[in-house]
Amino acid sequence: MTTSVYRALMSVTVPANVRRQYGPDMVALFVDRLDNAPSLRGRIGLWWSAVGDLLRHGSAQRFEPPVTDPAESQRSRWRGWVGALGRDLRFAIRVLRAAPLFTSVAIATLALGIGANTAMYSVLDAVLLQPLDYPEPDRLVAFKSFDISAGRSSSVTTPANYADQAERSRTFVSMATMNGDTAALAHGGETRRVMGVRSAGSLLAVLGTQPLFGRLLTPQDDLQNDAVVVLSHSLWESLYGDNRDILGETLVLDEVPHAVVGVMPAGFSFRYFAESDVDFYGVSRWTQEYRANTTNYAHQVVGRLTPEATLEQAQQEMDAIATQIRTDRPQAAQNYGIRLVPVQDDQVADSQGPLRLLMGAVGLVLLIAAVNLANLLLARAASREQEIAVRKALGATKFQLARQVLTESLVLGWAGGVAGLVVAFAGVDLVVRLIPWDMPNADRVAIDGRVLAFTFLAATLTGLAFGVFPALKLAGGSVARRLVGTGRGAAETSWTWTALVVTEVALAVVLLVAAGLLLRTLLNLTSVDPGFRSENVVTFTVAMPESRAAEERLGLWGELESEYAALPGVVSVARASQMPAEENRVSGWFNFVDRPVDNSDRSYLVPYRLVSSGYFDTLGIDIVAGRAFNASAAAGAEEVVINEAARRAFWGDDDPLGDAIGIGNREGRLFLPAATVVGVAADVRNDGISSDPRPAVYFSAELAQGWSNLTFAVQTAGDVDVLSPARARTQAVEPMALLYGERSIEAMLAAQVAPTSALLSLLGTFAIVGLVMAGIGVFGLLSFAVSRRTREIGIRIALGANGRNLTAMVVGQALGKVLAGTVLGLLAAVAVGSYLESLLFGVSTTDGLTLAAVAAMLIVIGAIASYLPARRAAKADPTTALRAS
Amino acid sequence: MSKSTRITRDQIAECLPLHPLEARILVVLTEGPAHGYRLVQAIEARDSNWTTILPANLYRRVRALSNRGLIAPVADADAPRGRRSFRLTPLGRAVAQAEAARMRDLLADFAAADLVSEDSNR
Repeated sequence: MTTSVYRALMSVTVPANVRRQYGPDMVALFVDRLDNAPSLRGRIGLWWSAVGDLLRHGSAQRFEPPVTDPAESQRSRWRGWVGALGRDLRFAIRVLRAAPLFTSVAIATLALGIGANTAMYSVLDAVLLQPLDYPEPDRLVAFKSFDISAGRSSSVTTPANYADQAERSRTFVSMATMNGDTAALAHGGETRRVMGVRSAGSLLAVLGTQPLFGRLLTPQDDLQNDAVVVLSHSLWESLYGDNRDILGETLVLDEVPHAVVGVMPAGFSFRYFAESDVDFYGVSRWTQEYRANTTNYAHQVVGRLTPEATLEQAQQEMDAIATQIRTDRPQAAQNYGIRLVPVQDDQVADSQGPLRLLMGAVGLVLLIAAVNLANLLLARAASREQEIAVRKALGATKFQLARQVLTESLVLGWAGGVAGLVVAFAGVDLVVRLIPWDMPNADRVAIDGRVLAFTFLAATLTGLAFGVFPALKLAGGSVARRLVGTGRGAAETSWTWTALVVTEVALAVVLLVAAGLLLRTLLNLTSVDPGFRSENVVTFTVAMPESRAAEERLGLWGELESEYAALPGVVSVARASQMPAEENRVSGWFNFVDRPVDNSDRSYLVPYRLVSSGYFDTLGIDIVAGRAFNASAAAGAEEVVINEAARRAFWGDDDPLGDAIGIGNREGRLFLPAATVVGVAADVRNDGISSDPRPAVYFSAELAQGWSNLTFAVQTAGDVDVLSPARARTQAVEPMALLYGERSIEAMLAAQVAPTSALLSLLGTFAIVGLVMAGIGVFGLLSFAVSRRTREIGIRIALGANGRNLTAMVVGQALGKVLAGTVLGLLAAVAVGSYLESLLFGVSTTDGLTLAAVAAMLIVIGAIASYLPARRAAKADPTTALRAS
Repeated sequence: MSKSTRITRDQIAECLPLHPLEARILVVLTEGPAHGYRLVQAIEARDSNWTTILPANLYRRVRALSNRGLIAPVADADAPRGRRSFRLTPLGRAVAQAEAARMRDLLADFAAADLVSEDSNR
């Protein structure tokens, strides 16, 4: 009874949260007090005082800060926030559903923008940001040779340099060379060509991936006489199914028996050479003499850092080792330096520029979309001014109003993000397929957690970006003026419109300039004259078995050439160590036989080719002085043809014909016999069509004694299939020979243009989407701005203004903004042009034609976009215009 | 159980000055944990200014102290059934000391102003 009465009193005086926490304590204390009261009078007095106590102290707590306990206050603040957010969200969704057209246009725009960004980011993430698929990939380092006088680096070094580095280094656990190798694999009665990597040291141990079964190669394997090999998972499967009982089996590669010692796991791939997956991993098979070679820069090196060492420490150590090497071999390693690069960076170096460019482009598209939405929201905001003013008059704070508007744009952003994910799922494969260059890890591109996080971030930032203008505008401003509904203050909003138009135009200009420069690059590439015939010439490479003696092989090459020449439809045939327009593979130092040259200058390092006498005819390369080789083998061997660039570089105005020259190492030891210059060939773009002709020397193919692979060029009369008969003839001449790498010169040239054209098609698509969006946006912005001035225009007409002059005035004012945006965009485009520079050919980032064309295009669009609404306004009946609000 | 976070000067300063009843509660709790009735008995025995401390008044102060982390509920085997006891926290002790120092300084100022006399504490 006592307690229930006291509780009832408590319930009307003490706040509920206090009652929950201390109610039982209070009742207990009151009971204790009552029990200890000496008399009835005392107890009655106690009841009387308790009522006063509850009224005074209990109710006082209603007005005290509810809770000061930090954890409790945090919770309640959160509860308040979440509640408010929930209300805002519900309201936002209601508002957006009430305007289905606006909402669906906004979401579709965002879905495109965010979807393109998500797809692009998933590629960027997989290729550039995700670590390589090896254990502790950040410890893998690639070695670059660095010419300290010329400031150039290359990815290859000599056996002796490698040996010194491996021997003296303390910051590396292991180090290995690697060289691509193609080998004829004879198995089960048939011969096929397989790709391999051969290394001194142990490449697989450096990479750190364990074999599926068996073992990896060790540096000791390289010193043994018996050749051993580790197979890739796919080669193992194709040879042996899933039979694991094959360790010790013998595999004949280029007629050398190799014992299989291990098989790599299925997911493991090694794409350093980027041509195709590697089928086998072998040892270097270097001779003892070759291990000491100080001049043959032909071997890439990778290493794995010790757990303690940093890249900087390793670089310092390598600097010291390079200094030592220079001291030890002042002749051969005069300018030798070493640069260390993380393998991750090295592998993605080629993809980095294009991917960043594309990411930047889709980012711009998204920004343009955001500006458009800001514009749409602003237009809506103008029509909602009265609603907002009512809410403000009813006591909504600026913060609450701004939060509400921002919530709406965030909801739009997120909805766009979700729709964008659908676009990304559909588009990511397309993007990967369109990207023509070989990217490491392209197979790992996926919409995963990181990509989802990116999408969420992009959607949120976009929502905030396009919501902040309208939020600021709606929250500010006078209540009274809005309530009476005179929302025609052009001046009040003009800075916002101006900012949006200028931004939108500037963004579009940057995109268009990038696309324009790439377009010009593509046009330049396709119009450049390579200097050699590209129609109806098919090339393929033939690999001769190494077991054949050198002289024997030499005879077989000639025999093959005659066999191919006799095929129906063949006009002419030539063989060469390398076709034009292929990346240069062999170079040597240029030497005059009768006088020394100053070979401290690297310009004396020239690429050379071994070509048969029909080479110049078959490929349509003009002989501008002298003659080509003699068809007779014996005489041709002592003759050499140079190109015009070589004549300019080494003879100047003198006549080269009759001079004896040689190609050798820096110390003057010749790789090939000295020969007499008998002709000068026209310059051709030997090193790819985007690089200018360099000095080059053509020796006779009769000197190709040691070569096991030569490429044939077959000129046909029209579209004739020569490959199948050629393959049959090859087998007839030498059953162990392999014909591979067949492609036409046209295809080779097209392959060189492909990266640019694909990049252009992607970037061009983004640019067109951006331009259309910007065009619509500018049109919308200008027509809305003009419609806001309808009343002003009406007054002017009523006062006698000429319609044409009015139109001109409005268009002029709009064009001012477009012009400002164009200038800003051009400046920005030039400023970010350096990102583009390495992808361009024959055009500079400040190319006047491109910049002018883009500027003109935007100005025309701006003029059209402002003319239409201006004319409409000027033609309007002044009385209608005056009534407009 | 108690957190080993360092008590900062700011944390103490935020709690000062104490309400007279709060100060009394802290002093009683220095002797060990106590439940509601024990607290009011002890305070009323020491300070004639407090004759009948009633539940809403006491627990208003207990709540304020508890929310600021100066006291905390504690399991007390000596307390009768249904009576919750509170103990002094390290922060509560530090605040009590600071309050004492504040009062000592205040008293010194009173004395310097010649406001302290034998019969003034009557």
